[in-house]
Amino acid sequence: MRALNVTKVAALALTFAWVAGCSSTSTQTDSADMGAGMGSDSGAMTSGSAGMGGMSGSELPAEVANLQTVFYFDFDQSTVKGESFADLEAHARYLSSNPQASVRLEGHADERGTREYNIALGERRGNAVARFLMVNGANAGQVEVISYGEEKPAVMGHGSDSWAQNRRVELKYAGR
Amino acid sequence: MDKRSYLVPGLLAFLLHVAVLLLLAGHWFDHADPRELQPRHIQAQMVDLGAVSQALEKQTEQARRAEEARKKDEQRKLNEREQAQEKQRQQELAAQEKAKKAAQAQEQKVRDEQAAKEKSVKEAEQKAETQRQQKEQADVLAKAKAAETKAAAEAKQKAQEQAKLATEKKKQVEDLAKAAADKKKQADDQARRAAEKKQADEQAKLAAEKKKQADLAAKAKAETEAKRVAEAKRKQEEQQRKEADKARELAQLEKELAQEQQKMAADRASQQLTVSMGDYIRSELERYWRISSASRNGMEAVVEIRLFPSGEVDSANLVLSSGDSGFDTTAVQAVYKVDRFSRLTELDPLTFERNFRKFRVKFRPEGLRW
Amino acid sequence: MVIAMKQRLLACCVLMLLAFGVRAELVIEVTQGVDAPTPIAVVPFGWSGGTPLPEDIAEIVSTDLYRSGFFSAMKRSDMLSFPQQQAQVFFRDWRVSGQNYLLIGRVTSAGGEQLQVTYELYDVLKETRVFGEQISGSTRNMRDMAHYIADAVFEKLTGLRGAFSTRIAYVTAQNQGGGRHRYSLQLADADGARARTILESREPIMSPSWSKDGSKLAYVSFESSRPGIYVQHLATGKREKIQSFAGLNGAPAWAPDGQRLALTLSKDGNPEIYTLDLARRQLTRVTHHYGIDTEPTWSPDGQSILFTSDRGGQPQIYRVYLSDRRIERVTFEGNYNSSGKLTQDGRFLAMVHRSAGAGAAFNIAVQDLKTGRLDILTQTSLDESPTIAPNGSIVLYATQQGNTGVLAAVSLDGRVRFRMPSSSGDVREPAWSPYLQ
Repeated sequence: MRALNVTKVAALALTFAWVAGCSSTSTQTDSADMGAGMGSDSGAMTSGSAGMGGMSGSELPAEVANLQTVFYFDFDQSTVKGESFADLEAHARYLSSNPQASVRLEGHADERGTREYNIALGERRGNAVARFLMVNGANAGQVEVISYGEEKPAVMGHGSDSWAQNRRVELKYAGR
Repeated sequence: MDKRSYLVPGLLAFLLHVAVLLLLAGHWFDHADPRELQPRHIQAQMVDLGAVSQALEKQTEQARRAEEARKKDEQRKLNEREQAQEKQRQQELAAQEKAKKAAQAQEQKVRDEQAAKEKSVKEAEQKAETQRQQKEQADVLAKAKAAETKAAAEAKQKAQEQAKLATEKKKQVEDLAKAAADKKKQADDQARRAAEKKQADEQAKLAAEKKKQADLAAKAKAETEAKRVAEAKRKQEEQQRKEADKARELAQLEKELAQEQQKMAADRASQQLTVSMGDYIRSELERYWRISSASRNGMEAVVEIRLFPSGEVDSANLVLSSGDSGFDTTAVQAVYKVDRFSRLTELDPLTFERNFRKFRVKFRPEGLRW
Repeated sequence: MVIAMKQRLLACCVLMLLAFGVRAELVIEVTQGVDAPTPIAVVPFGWSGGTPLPEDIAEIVSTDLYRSGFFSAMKRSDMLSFPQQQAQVFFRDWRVSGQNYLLIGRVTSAGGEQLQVTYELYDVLKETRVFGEQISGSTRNMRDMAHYIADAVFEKLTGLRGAFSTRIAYVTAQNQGGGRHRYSLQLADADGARARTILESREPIMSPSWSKDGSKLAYVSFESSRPGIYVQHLATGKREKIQSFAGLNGAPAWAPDGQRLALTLSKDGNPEIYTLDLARRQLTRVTHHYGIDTEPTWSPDGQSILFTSDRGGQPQIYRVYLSDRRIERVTFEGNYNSSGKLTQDGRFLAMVHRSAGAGAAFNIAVQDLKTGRLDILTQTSLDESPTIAPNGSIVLYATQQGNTGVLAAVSLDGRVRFRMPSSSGDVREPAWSPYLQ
């Protein structure tokens, strides 16, 4: 039991050390946003300016147009499944050979559990994919992870099928 | 005649002194125990003494007087004896009655003890203890009274013996007087000298003087004796009064106890009813007590309920707050919600008055979530 | 004499003992009762004016009282009479109808839109007037007047401060098709009425949290394509972005002192709890663990923060003391406990709970921190985001009805559950305001 824990801890520590190293580079200040959304009165209507428009899956570069961009996860898991390896490796090769390209990894969770905790779970999945990409040649600066938790489900519904489709990481290339 | 008159009086005087001393000595010894003082007997002796002294003064009347005194004395003694016997009989009777009473009390106590045991071990023990103590006290009292009676009887016997002794002495004196008279006759026959006669006269005078002094002393003594007797009498009366008081108290106590026991028997029945009515009231309140969700285990409110004989709620007032006004309110409301404890009409009015006219209910929730 | 005295004393004692045995006042102990709310009849208030009033005060009061879990409200159709004055009250009728209390009232016009409302509360069982009052307002704030009356009655009868005049904030989402959503932050009365939108966005809005004075809301918005924490002043609508680091910026929770926010940031690699001094913009990291630490909530004394962590393998609730960063685990039952909220007395912890065992649902549970006892309050599944009324009587939470999220409430003892009126769209993440001035 203890030995198992130790190995777990060690593995996790390594993993997170790696992730921390990667994500720190992506820190960018959004100070311009400070007070940007100054609303009118009570009915402050903010338009999500940077919504889905800029980064839609439809604008995939030709080299990776045939690759999977959505990767699924098992319940309560954040390990990349073997079925996703081939496509993710291809994405990593593309990023490696196109340093100006960058991807945004959107982590999601199913609706079960609490929202803030699911946000954390989604981030963990995004980080797992990011780590996979970097192991396979992508640069840390090319990968950004955003978690939406259960806020943006791919499908509605409360069955295990829906949940399986919602436990995912979506890979989106940033517009050039 | 002259010679006779000197010798005989002298002898008589001497003998009289001896007799007086003896009598007095016996009396003095008697003083040792004040309880044995028998006032009437001593009085009799006094009278006796006076008679003897008179007999000495007037020799011709002496015998008659002595006889009279003796008869009188005997009469008195007889009276005394009768009185003493009467008294003794009365005391014995009283003692018997007391003993009987005590026995009755004991009998009842035993009965009650058993009954009390049935009712409640604790109560029975307590009661038995007090009863036992009372019984013990009664026993002690009876014993003391018996002892006193016995002592009195003994004292009387002693007094009788003394009286007998005194009578014997008197007889002796009388015998002596007779002998003296005989001698006087002889002396008449033998002429005596004038000087001797004179001497005898002087001696007689002296004797008379002595007798006077003895009289005085006897008188003084009689006075103190009378005082002492009066005191003793007072004491005895007081003692008797105390005993009577005690007996009365005891009787009173027994009576109260008996009443109490009767009442308890009735109470037992009413208590059983009270218990079942208590259950009934509890179940009624439990049916209507709406425990608010803010209630917590350990909260406790006491409500005093006043009812009409119909079982209808007259008033319900909080007498001990739980500290939570909402909880207190639910408790009071439960009582008013019941409105009428209709089964209470089954109770006899006494039990109702005693237990259900006004009583308290403690609301203390158990088994709540918190 | 002494013996006699002793005897007398003894006799007295014996008699007194006997007397006490019989005479001691009977005390009956009642330990069980009915697990039921108190019945109250709220009679329609009289109105002498010509045009009908915009709101039915009695109906609002009745609903408020019913939803508190403390009262059951009599149906109007069951009422034999509609008294408006004491002289019209026949206590026997109300008693026979099973009522404990009776609330009557009347509304009179005070010129223009101004109204005067007189209400009186009666104890049907004691047949006495409990209290009454006359208040004034306008036709536009009749609901406020009704909630005020409900608060007054509630406090009088339960001893607890009423929370009917408070507000709730919550998030709604509408799927507009084509992957487009519309999120909005709503503000409503505690009964769900008079909802109004205070923020709209195409990107998710999350985790609204009230400042302790009830004047501001903090929340998470993804409007800038990444999560940021915002604070919005309710009176003016003015808002500012407080925090937006890389990674997670979530779960803002206002400290009792109103000066600090607790929040979750993953800027250092994984989600950790921080506190932010709002005046000095100073961040202080509170937790240090490679697992997930999130969903902070303050203890009422401000000395500790409870949070969700999976450091033990599954999400459970822990407490960290701010003075020495000592951490203790709070929940042990079940394999999923998160999103904890404490009652104002700090005794009860409401949370999302999933029991151990396959297929177990996510429910709202409450744990008594004094005894450790945990009770599951709901029977639906996918219940989340519990928030507790300031008087600790009701837990409001989000659940699913069909395919939409709705708000529901359950009394802290699980006795009463009810659905809030449904707004359009998916409703989620309610946040109950503190008492408002």
